[in-house]
Amino acid sequence: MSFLRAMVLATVLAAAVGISLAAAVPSTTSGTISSLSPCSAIISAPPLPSQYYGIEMVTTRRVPGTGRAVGTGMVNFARSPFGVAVSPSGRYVYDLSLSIDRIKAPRRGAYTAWAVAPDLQDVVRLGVIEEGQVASARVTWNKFLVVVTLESSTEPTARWHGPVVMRGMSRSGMMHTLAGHGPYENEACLKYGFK
Amino acid sequence: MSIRQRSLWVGLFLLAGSCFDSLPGLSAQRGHTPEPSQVVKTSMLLDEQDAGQMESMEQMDEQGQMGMMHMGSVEVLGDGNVAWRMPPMDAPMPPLPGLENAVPTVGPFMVKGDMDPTGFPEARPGEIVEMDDGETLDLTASIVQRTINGKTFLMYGYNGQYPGPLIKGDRGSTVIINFTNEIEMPTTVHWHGLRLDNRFDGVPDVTQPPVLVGQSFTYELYFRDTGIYWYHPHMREDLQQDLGLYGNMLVMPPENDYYGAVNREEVIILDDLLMDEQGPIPWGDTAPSHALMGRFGNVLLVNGTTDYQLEVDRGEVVRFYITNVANTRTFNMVFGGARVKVVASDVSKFEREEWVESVVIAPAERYVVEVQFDEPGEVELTNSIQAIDDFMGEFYYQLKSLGRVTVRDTTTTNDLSVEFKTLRQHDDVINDIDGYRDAFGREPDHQLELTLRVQNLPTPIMRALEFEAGLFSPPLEWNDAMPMMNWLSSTEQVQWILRDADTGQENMEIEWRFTVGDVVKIRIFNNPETIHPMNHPVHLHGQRYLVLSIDGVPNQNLVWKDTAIVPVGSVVDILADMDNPGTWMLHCHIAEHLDAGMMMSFSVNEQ
Ligand SMILES: [Cu+2]
Repeated sequence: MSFLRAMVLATVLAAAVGISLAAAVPSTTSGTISSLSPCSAIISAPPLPSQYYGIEMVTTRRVPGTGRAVGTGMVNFARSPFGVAVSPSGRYVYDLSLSIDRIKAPRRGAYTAWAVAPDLQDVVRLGVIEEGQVASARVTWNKFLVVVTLESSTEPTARWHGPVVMRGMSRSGMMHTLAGHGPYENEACLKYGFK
Repeated sequence: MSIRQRSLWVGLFLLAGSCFDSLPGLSAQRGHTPEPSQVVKTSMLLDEQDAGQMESMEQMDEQGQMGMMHMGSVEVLGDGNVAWRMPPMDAPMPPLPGLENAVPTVGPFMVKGDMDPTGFPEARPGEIVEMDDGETLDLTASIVQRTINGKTFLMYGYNGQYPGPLIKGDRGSTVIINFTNEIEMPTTVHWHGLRLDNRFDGVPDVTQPPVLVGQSFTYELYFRDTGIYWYHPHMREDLQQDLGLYGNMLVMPPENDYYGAVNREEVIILDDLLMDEQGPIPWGDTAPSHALMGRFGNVLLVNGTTDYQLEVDRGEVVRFYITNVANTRTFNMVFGGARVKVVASDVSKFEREEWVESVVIAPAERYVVEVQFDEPGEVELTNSIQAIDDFMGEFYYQLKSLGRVTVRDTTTTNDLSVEFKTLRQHDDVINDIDGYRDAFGREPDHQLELTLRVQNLPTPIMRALEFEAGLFSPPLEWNDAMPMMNWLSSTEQVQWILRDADTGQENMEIEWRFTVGDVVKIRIFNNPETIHPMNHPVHLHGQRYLVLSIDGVPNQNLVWKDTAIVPVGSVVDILADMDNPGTWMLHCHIAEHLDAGMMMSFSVNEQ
């Protein structure tokens, strides 16, 4: 992938979830991290399924009745005899399931969930989704977006046409260049094709 | 003895070989050997204390450059020219600012101090040793000459072979192994996956004392379960195993139709070796380097070579017994466009055979697959992964060759296509597992959290880790995405932890007690919210277990395992069949993580 494309991708992904990547990064300002004692590197967590790779859906507020909408996408490895499901090209194979809440039924049409590759070319339809329901599909991309749109057609073969109501990004979309950050803060991003 | 103490002990032997060669009356001096942390060739921690240490290190180095010493009955020569070199990188990235000339805090180790390999016996390809019940095999770990990627250097081998001899025996039989240690440091042999007598499990200071240089130990191997198993040292695996100490055991079934019919059987060991144009990158002497992610190799090996080849007739069905002996690399093995059926794993067949498109295999796991080659021509065997370029923050596709199968134009005279196309259900496995299904739904008996603790890592590394920890850690590390940071972290700075979630006890503090016949559900949570989460292949000695679920999703096709992947962020429920008495280990099978403490023991007592 070219640096330019990577840059475009990062921007698209960041825009899609409405956050700045920089804001998502924990700030390590000065050159020392003396506050980090050996033990503070450990964060205990209860042994419950992790939300780590969960996808937080954010409303775009573009459609009436969606202003308070929330949603979560969860990924599970697709069933595999190896435990971890991986495609022949090494991509994780995930069963993505999406649930949304606090969303009013649209006056016309139906909310429809999609997963989209970063190039915005490959689209997988999860299906029509309503409050309290779950829509799911299998995805095999390194990074992807999840969107809920308002569509006039509920046909399974329908394409994505309508406005984006909610959006989210796979955790992998947060992967970010080290250029200009952390120990490389003096390494110019531009040199590597980043702005 | 704690893991730290054990590391120290091995360290002392290594140290004796690499640094103290010329000290007079060495045997009397051993008691005064400095702590491993002092054996720093060049320190990257430039505070006052370390600067002081460095001075004394330099003196040691000077003394170490002369002469020779005797350790036990083995003469050790060293030319003292072993120096650290920055490992090569798949995706180049600038050196960490401030660490441009840094090297690991441990010293560099090469076999025999990287002396001229000529004069040492050239290793031979592994032989098949068919053993009858009660038969004895002499097995010696020794120094051998290997040529890999055009470089000739010293490695280790069992019986002078790569891999070690393939020990073939019938299920239900017992064979005797007279093992002798002729390498430069203490070792043991662990018979991975065998549910054998605890006394012969090969864990130093748990089931036996380390086998010192020149000494022997007799193992009795009981082949209780059909399948493919492997043997390797249980001391400094990062170094000894990586240097060639590994081999398989193939336990044959009495039933003729235990597996489906095939034209041919192949035993394949996957491995990787970290090399540059000068040869292998040195290993850590007193403790492993690469403690964060384990030592990924850049040269992929099948049965110890880079040119694995197989010739078959068109239409042949080949059963591959695959073992991953790499320190840390998980492979995604693809057989070109050939059709692949997965049949069995570590300790049993699957309940049902399945078609797969690739084989995902973590360190120490085994899979048995059957492949039909029905198109004439060359079939490239590959490792096909989405690697990560950590500096650029990108995935990239990495395809590396593992070997080649040449499919002749001549069609096989024994066409097994019909059988191959049938997916068999293994009622023997299903019936066996039926006895355990009542326990599947119960609450876990024990819960483990996988995490780590770091100390004294250089500030630039800590800053990079902190920057990334809040962003994205992949479920599995398929490549060494941060080669310099990883290399510079030794097990003196990184402690990998199994924590008992109920008691807070960690690693060897944990004391689980069971009785023979107990069926134990263990929930393993790989905490993603740490400074550097990573996947861990969790290995249970001497018993077998089922992976019941991953992240709450039940496993619909069970198989008895001894090692299984616990991905980052996942909760994996396993059900262990504790029916083999003794004191056993549970640990991560990434060699560096094991040395960094990620192990615990449990006892199974007779009723
Ligand atoms: Cu591990």
